[in-house]
Amino acid sequence: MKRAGKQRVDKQRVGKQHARKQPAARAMRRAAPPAGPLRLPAALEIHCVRDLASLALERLAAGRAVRIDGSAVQSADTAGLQLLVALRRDALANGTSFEWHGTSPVLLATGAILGLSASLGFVEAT
Amino acid sequence: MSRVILTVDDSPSMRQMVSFTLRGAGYEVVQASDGVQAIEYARNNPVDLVLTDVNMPGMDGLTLVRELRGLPNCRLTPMLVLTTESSQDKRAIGKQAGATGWILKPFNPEQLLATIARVL
Amino acid sequence: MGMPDSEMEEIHKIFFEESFEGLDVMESSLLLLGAQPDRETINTIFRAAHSIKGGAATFDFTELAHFTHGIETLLDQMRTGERTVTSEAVQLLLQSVDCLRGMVTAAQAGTAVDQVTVEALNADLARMLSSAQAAAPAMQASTASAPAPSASSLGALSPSASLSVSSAMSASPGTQAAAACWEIEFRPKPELLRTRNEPARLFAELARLGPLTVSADCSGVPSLATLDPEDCHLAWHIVLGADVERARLDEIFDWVSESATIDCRRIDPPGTIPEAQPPIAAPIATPIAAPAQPTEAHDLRLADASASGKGVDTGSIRVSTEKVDALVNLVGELVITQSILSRFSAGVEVDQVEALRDALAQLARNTRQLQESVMQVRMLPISFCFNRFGRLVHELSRRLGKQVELELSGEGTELDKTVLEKIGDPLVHLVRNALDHGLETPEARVAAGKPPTGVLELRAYHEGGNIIIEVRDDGAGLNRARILAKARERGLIAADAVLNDEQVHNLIFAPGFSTAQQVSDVSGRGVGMDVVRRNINGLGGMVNITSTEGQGSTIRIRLPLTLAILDGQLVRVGAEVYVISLVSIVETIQVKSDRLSAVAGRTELFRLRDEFLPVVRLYEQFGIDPDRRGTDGGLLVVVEADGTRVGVLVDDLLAQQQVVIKSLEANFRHVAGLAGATILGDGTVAPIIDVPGLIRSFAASQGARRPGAEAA
Repeated sequence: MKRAGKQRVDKQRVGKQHARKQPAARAMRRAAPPAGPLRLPAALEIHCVRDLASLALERLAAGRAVRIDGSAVQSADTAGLQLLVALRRDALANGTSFEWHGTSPVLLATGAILGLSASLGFVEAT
Repeated sequence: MSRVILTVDDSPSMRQMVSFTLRGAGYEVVQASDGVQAIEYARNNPVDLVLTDVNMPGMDGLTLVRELRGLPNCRLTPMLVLTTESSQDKRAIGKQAGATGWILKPFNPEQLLATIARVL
Repeated sequence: MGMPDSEMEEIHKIFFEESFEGLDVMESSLLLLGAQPDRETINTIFRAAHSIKGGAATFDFTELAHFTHGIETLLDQMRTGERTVTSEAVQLLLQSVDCLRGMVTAAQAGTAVDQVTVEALNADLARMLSSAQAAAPAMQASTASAPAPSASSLGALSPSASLSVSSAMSASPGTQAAAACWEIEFRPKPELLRTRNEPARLFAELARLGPLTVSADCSGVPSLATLDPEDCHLAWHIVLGADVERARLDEIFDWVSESATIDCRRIDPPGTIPEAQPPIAAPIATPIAAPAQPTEAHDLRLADASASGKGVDTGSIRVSTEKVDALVNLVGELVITQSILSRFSAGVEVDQVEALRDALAQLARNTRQLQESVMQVRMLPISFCFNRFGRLVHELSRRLGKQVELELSGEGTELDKTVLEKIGDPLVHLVRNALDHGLETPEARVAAGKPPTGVLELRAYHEGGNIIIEVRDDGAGLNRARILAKARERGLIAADAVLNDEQVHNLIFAPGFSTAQQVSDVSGRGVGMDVVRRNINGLGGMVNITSTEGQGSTIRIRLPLTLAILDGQLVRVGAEVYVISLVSIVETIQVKSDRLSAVAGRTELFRLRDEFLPVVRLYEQFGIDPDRRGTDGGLLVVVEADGTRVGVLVDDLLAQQQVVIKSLEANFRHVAGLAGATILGDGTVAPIIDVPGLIRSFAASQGARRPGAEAA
């Protein structure tokens, strides 16, 4: 059963990526040099959290400031944000900084509705 | 690219109703008349949501959900079961099988769309 | 319903078809149940009923749904072992299936249902359901007995989820809270996220009810190194500023009640709004106005309206009969064209033509194969027809007080769809006749030294390009003397006519004949046999009966496999060419005038061994100029129909070939004695002789003279 879209090159993927084998995560590995910020995929969701966790651990292990670019995020869920909460908390506990290099409206809104704005560093805790 | 919904039901009229309703809302629909066909399709093709009747001859819907969850590319796919049972027990069994949720039959097209929107 | 009428109509059509199929399954399974109650069979019947009910409810056929519900309930009791399978219950269910069939037919036709029957059956079902039934003993092949459904009320507490509701401390029972709010403690289990129930969506739904304050508890989130990112380690405390019913919240958390701990506490206004629980983690709870849905959430683009829902291949497709008929027609034309071409190559004797001949031979092969394939497309197994009879025999034998066992064989034998459709009614009549007149009551059988249960056998098989259907019973057989007496009484045969057994037996097919001593309402007056034969002839087939008194009878029907093509013998009379179907030809002989004798009047008889055959002069029947009017040198084609033989006088025998039957009615008008026409290779039109019709009209034209009349 062939789907019409199967042969096409996936360019912009509006909507969820699902288990089409997390190409974004692999793309991240190839595209982002260790020095640059970790670029979050368009679909920051449960399908990619395992791969993302590995990348996050690499960043932590590197000991440098953890920089995250969330400007490409078009959908996010609890699994994805939970991972970032853990990453940020671990980074701060290590004494390394955690910085956002770009956030998308969806990322902010989802963080807000889940009550994670402060935990993610979107707003300053008072 | 539109989302693909795999609908499984041994009743052709139900499949047709579901298919027409969902296609009208922009989803792509693949029909299977039993669990075996559904697994065959899902094994090798991307599926964004599975909609399956519970009461089917051969493989019932809950067994199908369990089987699909075992497929590597369906492990995290949302799955809804269509059932007439409203008792607590059946729901618990649905959850045990790994379903995301259920839709009570009979339902009309509006209810179907609204429920799918809760998942996709 | 938001769906265009045409689409809904199409879906209804499918629903009706599948309901009829389901009803057939229910019926045949119920008949099996009568013999041996079996869990799997009951399940099958239940599922079929359940399916019909579901569809009926979905598509708003409320009466249908309601009626089916009663049937379903009864079946459910049987399925769980709560009720024994009794023949009374099976009978009631069979009647209900009939009624349901009528209701589906009515729904399909848009006509009204017979309320009286429906009400009566509803009452019967209700009565049976309310009658106490001893629980069934363990059924054959059943495993563990089905657990009794637990009487769980909606909202009952399940062991793990605690959906506790505690009313506000200070509210009095009658107080209507004006601006109440809810405190919700939502603590998912780790697997929640894997079920794809997303908290963000749940909160968004809550936010639609009123202002929402969400505080997340991150204390449970382990370090990144030990974290399984698919597990949920977060928990939330939510305050919803909305005066809603508890049920509304339950609705939203419906799917996750098993995968999370949910505590909802209603807080009522005057001064009782507690401070938001201080979240354990640092984050400040930020009030959220109902947020916009994430943009990707609900894609209502109609862009893919053209994409058809792809079906998973089931190995078959539905094709309209019209299309198949068109194909058959085209193949017929192809056969004619191919035979024209063959004729041309036959007469030419040049070397290059060798290749042409080979190519034409190949074309002939291809055409034949294509023809066979196309004919196959229209073929269906006779089981579609035979399967009806289980029920018929069951009902009739009950009503007649007889014990009958139905045996089917050759159900897989295939025949043309149209022939299949049209042979049903004649077969039903033959079966009714066999049950009514052929098979005896158990007492009579025992008295005759037979087992009390009679056997009715329906058998089908292929033979030489035809399908043979036999209806055999081991009943009383035909009484020769009685038939002869009746035939003479009715003037169907001459008083002094001498007939052999076969001829006597086949008199029962003669119009106006009946040996039934009493009119039974079951098979009418028994005069339908002539209609049966006429119908079978109309299909290009033949029927006859053989019988042994005291032992039983066998009715044998021969039908062509297809209505479109005929194996024919071309004959010439004068300048005209006719086609006689090979199937009806017994033999062909040269005429010697010393074998001919004329009876007083006009009938000529030809003596063939020990039989006297009436001679039919085709030129007389059709008004043409023959080669000769004498008989010497002519050929006699002996044909047979309905147990009667005649000799057809022709001038010459031509080729034997397959011809494509073209309808006279469609292209010209009906002509007595002709069953259609065909176009030969040279383009001439050759009428096809309707042998049974010819024999009948010949007999009629002979006046009182009957076959078997002695030579003067």
